[in-house]
Amino acid sequence: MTKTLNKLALSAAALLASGSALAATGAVADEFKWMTFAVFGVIIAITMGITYWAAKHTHTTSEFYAAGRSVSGIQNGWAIAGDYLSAASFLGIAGLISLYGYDGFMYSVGWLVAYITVLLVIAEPCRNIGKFTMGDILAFRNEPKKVKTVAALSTITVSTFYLTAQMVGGGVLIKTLIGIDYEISVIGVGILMLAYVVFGGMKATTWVQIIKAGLLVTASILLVMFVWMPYGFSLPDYLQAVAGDTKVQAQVAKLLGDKATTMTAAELGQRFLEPGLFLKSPIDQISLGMALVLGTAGMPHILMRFFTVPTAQAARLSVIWAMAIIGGFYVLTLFLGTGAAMLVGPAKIAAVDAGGNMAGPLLAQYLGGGENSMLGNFFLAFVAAVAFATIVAVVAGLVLAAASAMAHDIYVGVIRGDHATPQEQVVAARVASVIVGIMAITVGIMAKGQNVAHLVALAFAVAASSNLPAVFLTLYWKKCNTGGIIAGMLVGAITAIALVMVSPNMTYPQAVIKAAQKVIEGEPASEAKPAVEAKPGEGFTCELFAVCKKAEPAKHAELAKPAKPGTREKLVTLQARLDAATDEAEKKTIQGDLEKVKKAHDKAEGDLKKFDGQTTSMVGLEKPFFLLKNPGLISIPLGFLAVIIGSLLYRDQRAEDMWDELYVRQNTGIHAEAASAH
Amino acid sequence: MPLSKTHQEYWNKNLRMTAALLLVWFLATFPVIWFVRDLNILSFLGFPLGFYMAAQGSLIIYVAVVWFYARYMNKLDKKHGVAEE
Repeated sequence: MTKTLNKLALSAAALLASGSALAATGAVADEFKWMTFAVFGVIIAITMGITYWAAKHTHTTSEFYAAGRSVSGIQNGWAIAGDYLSAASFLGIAGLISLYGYDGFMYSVGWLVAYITVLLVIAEPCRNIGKFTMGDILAFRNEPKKVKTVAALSTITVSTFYLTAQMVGGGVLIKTLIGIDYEISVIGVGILMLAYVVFGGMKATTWVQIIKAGLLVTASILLVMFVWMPYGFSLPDYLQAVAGDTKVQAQVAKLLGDKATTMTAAELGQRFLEPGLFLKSPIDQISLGMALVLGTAGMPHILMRFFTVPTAQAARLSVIWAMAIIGGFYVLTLFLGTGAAMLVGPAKIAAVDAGGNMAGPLLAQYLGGGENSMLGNFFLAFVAAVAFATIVAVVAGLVLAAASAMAHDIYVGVIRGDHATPQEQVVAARVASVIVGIMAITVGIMAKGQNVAHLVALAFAVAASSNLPAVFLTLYWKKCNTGGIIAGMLVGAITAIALVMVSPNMTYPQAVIKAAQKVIEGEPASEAKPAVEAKPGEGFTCELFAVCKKAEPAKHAELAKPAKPGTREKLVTLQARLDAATDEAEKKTIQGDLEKVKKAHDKAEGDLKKFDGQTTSMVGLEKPFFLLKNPGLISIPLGFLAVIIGSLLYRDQRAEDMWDELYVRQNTGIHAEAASAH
Repeated sequence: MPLSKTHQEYWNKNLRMTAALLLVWFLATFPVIWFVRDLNILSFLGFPLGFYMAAQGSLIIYVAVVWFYARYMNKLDKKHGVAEE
């Protein structure tokens, strides 16, 4: 998996970029829209009914934040799976497999691999020590006001980054699927999610997650049955068919470029099942891998789920169920992805959305009978509704996490010094939810059209560099204390954010302008180039920072290339061809090409206009200073180091004395609920 | 609450099992992906092994690891009298 995982950020980027790939009409044809809305309506009605029921049972703080610790292990397992399978992971992975084969799996393995660390080292002790938030865990043997403030800041930072990415991704996704305006999509998602959280608290949020996970798994199993049935449910036969498919082979040939010319069709098909079609730069992948694996364990909305179960046994049971559901789902994506590649074809999937996010929905439509059939569009509507439920459910979980940090840690813990009546606490929690919700909607709308991919990477990087070292060391290191927690969380978060600000994730006007000019003006003819040998870099640091020369890989010899026309020239030639064309079908094709070129042209022009006169990025750099997309490789070790140094300098006898108590509690969970009462 | 001997023993066993399972986790993940091309020479259920591991094998091992951990810890809880009712 080290070769893995570039995925997260890229797929989020793809998810976001997808909006422009499709006309405002969406993937569902107009005459079938009513069906989509009907399916959406049913799902909204069911979840609202549950929220009404949950609201009647949500009066105390424990009920609001932790569903009264009444969620069973199995229910929690489904809810975790619901939290976990975000739209990016459920639409994204099938899409990546359909476009890139083996490298797509790296994404699913990468996600699940993270979960093991959550269970084995973090989940159970956290449930045993914490009450409602990460701040509670850290406050156990440290000075509550100080650590709760820092923990809440970190939680709100992580949640806001992730929330913004989800809101923007969700708005774009809904627009791509059914053509509702971006702003209305974002507001719709926001209001629904607020209704669940404010009225139903954790109980409603949990059940929304469970329903969503159930729908997702049902939809996937049905689709897989349809895909696999023609092969008599035989795996080898099925894979043979995938590798032998001409659309798949064409895709591999396209991805490999010149190298593919010497390969046979069978070799090309086989290549689809091997690595290297998508992921590059191993150091960047390791860095992202670290952030994902360790960041998942530091994600506040994931940690929070473990406070909802009554016992340690239930916590364990819930992880088994979550792993089985998520793992099972990813095994199914093998069929969804390759099935979409074979039946719909990578070219068509990429045409609707360059990131491949529409692979699952398009496969559903195909299996139901195609674009113009009733059943095909019903299938598509169902998958779209599941995607919608997914966005709302994940966003609800995040809002609840951010709101609990605000209300429980900051307001009740720090401002009121833990002296607030249960009624006041619940009111504070609801008010905080509304604040976070409105903020999410506002930021979501403001960030329209922005590339927010780096926000996902950033959320995981901050969680891994700030939250995880603090939580891990307070649980497992006797000498850890308040000084260490504060130093570690601040250093981890600030390094992660600062490195991203100077990384290739930011927009560098010069590069954008150059690319846009290339699109418009085309490329001049180039002469043949001889092969270039790999050049070693000037050391490992040079691979990370733009202070010295980094290693350059060997280049193949290039043949002379003719000039490539730019969009400006193409527009003229296409228009001329259109005017000359007489055949109706031919006219239509040219018209289609013309529109595509025009779109690319307008986008490039827009970019040129937008960045006209600018030469530096937001922080004043002409090109990236930090060369990796993800800061994890540097910020995570720094976070750990800062906790250790801070603890050693600060010295706190009480923290050491409390170690034994933590130790017992961590193991046994005795008094977990009693602790929450004080 | 003071730390009794049985707690100490329980904790040590817990840590040892966690370490062992993390090792399995590591082996099922990193080497399998680094050496995927070499593993593809072998065949499993009609698949190239490296491909199979990424598509399904590793995922199944993860679930098994978690299942085993929960079973082990539940038993350990009972044995040391720290199970919650």
